[in-house]
Amino acid sequence: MSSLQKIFGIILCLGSLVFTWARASVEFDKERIEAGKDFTLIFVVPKPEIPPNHGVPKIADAPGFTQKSIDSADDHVNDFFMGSYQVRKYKFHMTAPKDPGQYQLAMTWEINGNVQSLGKVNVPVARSLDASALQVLLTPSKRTVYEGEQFSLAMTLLTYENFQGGLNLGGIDLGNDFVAHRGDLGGLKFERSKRPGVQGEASAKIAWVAPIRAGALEIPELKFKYQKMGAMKEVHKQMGNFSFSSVSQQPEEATATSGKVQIQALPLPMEGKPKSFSGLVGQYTFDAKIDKTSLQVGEALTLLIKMRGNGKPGAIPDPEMPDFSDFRSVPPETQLNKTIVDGMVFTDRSLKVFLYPKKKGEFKIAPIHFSWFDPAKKKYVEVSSKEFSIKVDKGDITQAAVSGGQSVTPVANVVEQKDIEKLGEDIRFIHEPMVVRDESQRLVYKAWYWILLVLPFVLAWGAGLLRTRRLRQLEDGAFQRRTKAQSSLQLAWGAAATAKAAGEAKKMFAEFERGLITYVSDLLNIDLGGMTREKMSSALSEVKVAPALIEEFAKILEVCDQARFSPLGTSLDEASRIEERVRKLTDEFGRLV
Amino acid sequence: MKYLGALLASLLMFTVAYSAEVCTTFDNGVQAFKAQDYLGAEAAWETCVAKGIHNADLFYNLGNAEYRLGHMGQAIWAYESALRLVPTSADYTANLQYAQKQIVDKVESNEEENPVLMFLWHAHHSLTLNHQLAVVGVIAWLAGILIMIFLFVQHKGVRSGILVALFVLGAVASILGIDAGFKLYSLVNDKFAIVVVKSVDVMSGPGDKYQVLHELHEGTRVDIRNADMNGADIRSADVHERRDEWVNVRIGESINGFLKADQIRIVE
Repeated sequence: MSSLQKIFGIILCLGSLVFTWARASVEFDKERIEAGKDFTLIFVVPKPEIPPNHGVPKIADAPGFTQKSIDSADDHVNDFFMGSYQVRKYKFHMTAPKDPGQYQLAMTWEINGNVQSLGKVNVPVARSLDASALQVLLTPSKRTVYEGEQFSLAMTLLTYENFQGGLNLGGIDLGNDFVAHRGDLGGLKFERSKRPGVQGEASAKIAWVAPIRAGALEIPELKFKYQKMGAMKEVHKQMGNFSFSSVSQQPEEATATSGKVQIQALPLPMEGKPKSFSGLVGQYTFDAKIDKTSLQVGEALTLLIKMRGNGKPGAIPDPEMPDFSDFRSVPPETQLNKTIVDGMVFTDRSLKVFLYPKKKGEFKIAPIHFSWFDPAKKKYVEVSSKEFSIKVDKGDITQAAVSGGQSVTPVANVVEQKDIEKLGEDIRFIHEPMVVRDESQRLVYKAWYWILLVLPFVLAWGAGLLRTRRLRQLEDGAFQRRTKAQSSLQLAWGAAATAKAAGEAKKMFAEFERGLITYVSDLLNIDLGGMTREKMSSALSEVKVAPALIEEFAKILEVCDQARFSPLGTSLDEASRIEERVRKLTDEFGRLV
Repeated sequence: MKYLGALLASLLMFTVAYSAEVCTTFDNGVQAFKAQDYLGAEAAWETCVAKGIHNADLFYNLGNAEYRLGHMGQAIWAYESALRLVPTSADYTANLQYAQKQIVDKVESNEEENPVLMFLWHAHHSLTLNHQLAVVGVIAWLAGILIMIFLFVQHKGVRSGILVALFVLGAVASILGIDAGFKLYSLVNDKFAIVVVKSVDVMSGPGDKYQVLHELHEGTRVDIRNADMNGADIRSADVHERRDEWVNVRIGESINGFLKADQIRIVE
């Protein structure tokens, strides 16, 4: 190899490593090369640097890559320092390997019949954005168990660079073939993973399960929704004569799915199965005891049974109870608790059976049997309580009627408040109100309440209106005179009647005249007193009184004047006739207002 | 006179309309309780509750019967129900606290009581909502009568006195009204329930197939979030009949999940 060729090779190697500045360089058509995806490696060589006698550059060693084709084309490059110059671009169309990682491609070039090494090109291959960003792995603690035997199910979550959170762990469904105690995933935390390509990792036991039947069983795949960064998409925009393109990447919802888990559940052996066996598989403890062996009729005896084991989580059936026909019993109190100890779920079940002896005497409670299958020893285990002997004496307390073994309410001494209440040591005694009424009815929802609430203000408002109206009337002079008119008329009638009784006809006419003028003046709020007849008629015309009425008014006044001042005197009969006309006239005036 | 007649007629209407149903089996429960027949007492008092009679002493006594039977969840529910009606009763509070000491999920509180807050709390609960509204009603009538007197009386001293009285009555009615509104808001919106089974799993969703978030025990109080209950509204009266339904509950700030409706009892 000539020294010139060596220098040229070094220049190309440097160019492939520092391709931002050097003139011979290696480029990729994509910023991000994803596993399993196509990309193009471009080897750019300035034309003056191309040796005169050369072949086609090659990628000699590309483990995992698939080289699809190569082509070349001449182009020119505008460089800030070097200016514009011609280059030849060799384009290697390739497919990246399926596994992400850092790869190196060895390039060679045949120059003057010799194959020259151009060095190695670093190619970072990233995980495809189309691939799942979350991987779910399920691992059972055992794959072969007995029917009813407990095993745990661990879940490992692996997250990749395009994982965006939003993980929803709800909806874990383990199918219908298992009894499960589900683990608490509230504290699940992701930590940086040491696995290549994996960013975060979290593990937890999601459940302790026990198969409920024998056979080849399957835990179905679990599906979790989460957010991941979607693939890069090129977006073209057209604005008038200009077009733009940009690459956008949006988060999207995705679903991660675990694989199915196959479990082989072995049937329990038939050989040696105790009569008391109720399907429990695991390691169990059993204890039964009574709180007293001697008591009186009316007192209660407590039979306490405790069972604990690591078989089916949360399931321990009642043991078969002995004959309690010598006792009355109330429904037993039961308690069931689950605790996790050494990676297993232990179920504790306790039963409190309250027994009231029916009569005095000596009684026996037969042993209680409890059994289970131990998968470690592969055999059945049965334990029994001892037989309990009970001695019952006749009590001092009142005994309730007992017949036919039926359960009746236990009766004892009548208890009073003073017997029970010790503040701070017991609950306080019951209350005995005279009447117990429903206190939940709320006035706020009753329409009548709101009506009653508003009513006084409505009444006050009405009273205010009345008062205002009254004040206005008091301030109205016309109204005052109108109100007074009728009373003035009545006074005139009274005076006329007095005169009539006294036989003074002239005085009657005088009262008619005065009363009529005063009445009409008050009624129409005009002062007719002191006016001539013509002025009176004119004043009445101005307030729109009918001409016939004015004429009658004038005639009556004329008649009254004549009668009053006639030297011949006048009779009471004539006065009575005029009285009728005056009454009729006042009625007609009264109808005007 | 006619105004007095209207007032008396209104008060009569008030009395007639406000007369509520009476619990007839209450005394049977008292006798049974005294005879230590707690099952009988429970049955007698539950009968009243089932009839829709909500009375503080009834709930309190029922709580005592449930306590004696060892039903801590039901006892706490009954004491809470009694306190909901009469929050200031020392007996109700004492028994509730006594029962709460005996449950698994105990909440220990060492906070010292602030005397100002305690005064405000007692003032807030010194009257029930109905009593508060009745007082507001009486104030309204007094104010109405005073306004009418004010309209027709000309004596300056009397009129000034009436104005002062109206101002005071208005202030008292406003305070009572605002407080009643707050009380009503709390009663309507602050729903809670008590776990009445020995232990219960809080699920992440409304169904058995969801993840278990926490385990609660009998007597634990949970707040209810109505709107999230499977899209259905919760009415405490029929919640126990819908056994398959799930209730969205919250405990403090951290626990939020679903419980089966028949595992809790809602405080009315």
